[in-house]
Amino acid sequence: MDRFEHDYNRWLDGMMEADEAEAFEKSLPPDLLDDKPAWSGVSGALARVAKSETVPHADFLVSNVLASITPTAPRRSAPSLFGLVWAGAACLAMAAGLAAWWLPNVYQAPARDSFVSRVLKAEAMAPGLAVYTFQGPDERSAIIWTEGVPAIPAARKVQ
Amino acid sequence: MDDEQTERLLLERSRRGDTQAFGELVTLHRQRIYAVVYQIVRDPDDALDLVQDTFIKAWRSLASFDGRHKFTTWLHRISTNAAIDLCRKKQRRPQDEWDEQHFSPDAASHTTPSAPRMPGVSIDEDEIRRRIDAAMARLNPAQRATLVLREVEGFSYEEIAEQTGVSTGTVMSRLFHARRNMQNELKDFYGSL
Repeated sequence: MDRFEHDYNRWLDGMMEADEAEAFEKSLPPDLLDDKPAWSGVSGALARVAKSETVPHADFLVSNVLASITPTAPRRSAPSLFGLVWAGAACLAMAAGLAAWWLPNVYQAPARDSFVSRVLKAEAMAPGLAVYTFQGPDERSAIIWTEGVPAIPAARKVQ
Repeated sequence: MDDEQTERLLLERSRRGDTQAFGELVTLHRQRIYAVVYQIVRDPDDALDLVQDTFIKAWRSLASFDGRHKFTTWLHRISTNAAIDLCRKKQRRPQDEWDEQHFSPDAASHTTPSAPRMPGVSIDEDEIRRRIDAAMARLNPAQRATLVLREVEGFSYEEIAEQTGVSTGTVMSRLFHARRNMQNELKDFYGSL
């Protein structure tokens, strides 16, 4: 470190004790003696000029910085064939699983009585003539079933 | 709540990933950082880009900011070094720039101000600005950075050494030559400053 440069800076910045400053000033070339009082004016003007420089487009600066540091959502890439196959397989497996659970639990076959009439009575009245009596879901009914008989004999009554 | 507390809270929120809090820190510090960077690079567009890059780098390195120094000091370290690097890359050194290696106190009398003027005549602020700008432009980037950090931001020699990554002796040398050169350039101006 250059001793003169070091002392000159300390002297200019007023960091020397009075006796040290006096001794230093005695060693200075005559043309540098006025530097200290003059420097305060230069220093003040420099600070004034520097601080008066205002940021151009200050809001733009802030928004640019925010845009650069704000995390963005990762861009979605096109699905690969491998991915599509796996997605299809997964969908099928889900559908199968859903069906296996849903069919036995949700779908219940209607009771037999709800759509099949109960046979109350079956009576063979004559060859080729039979009468079946059914109990339907709503009402009792009778069907006369004839095979090869053109008419029901008058003596027979269907009850 | 004072400024330091506000800054500390904003830093804590920023460390947790709060970009809006960091945006407030940018708003708080952009002017100071810009003022120093502009004096080094002497170009408003370059200065603006450097300030923007400084804050982005700071955001990415927030985890490494240990709080031993002020946040502003940390920002100045990032921005000043980037500004000096940019100047070196652009090789903006003017042809008539003084070379600090060839300076001696006796040689000071050989340099004359570029625009002599009559002492005692008052000048306006624009003229002061022009003269200061011209004198600053004749320093090299490292000298400008050292001078501004000392005179505008008021950092100590040791703090400047830490921020610019050089020894205190180098800071003293840069500061000495910068001051001498400025004084020679503005000698006819002393009465107006």
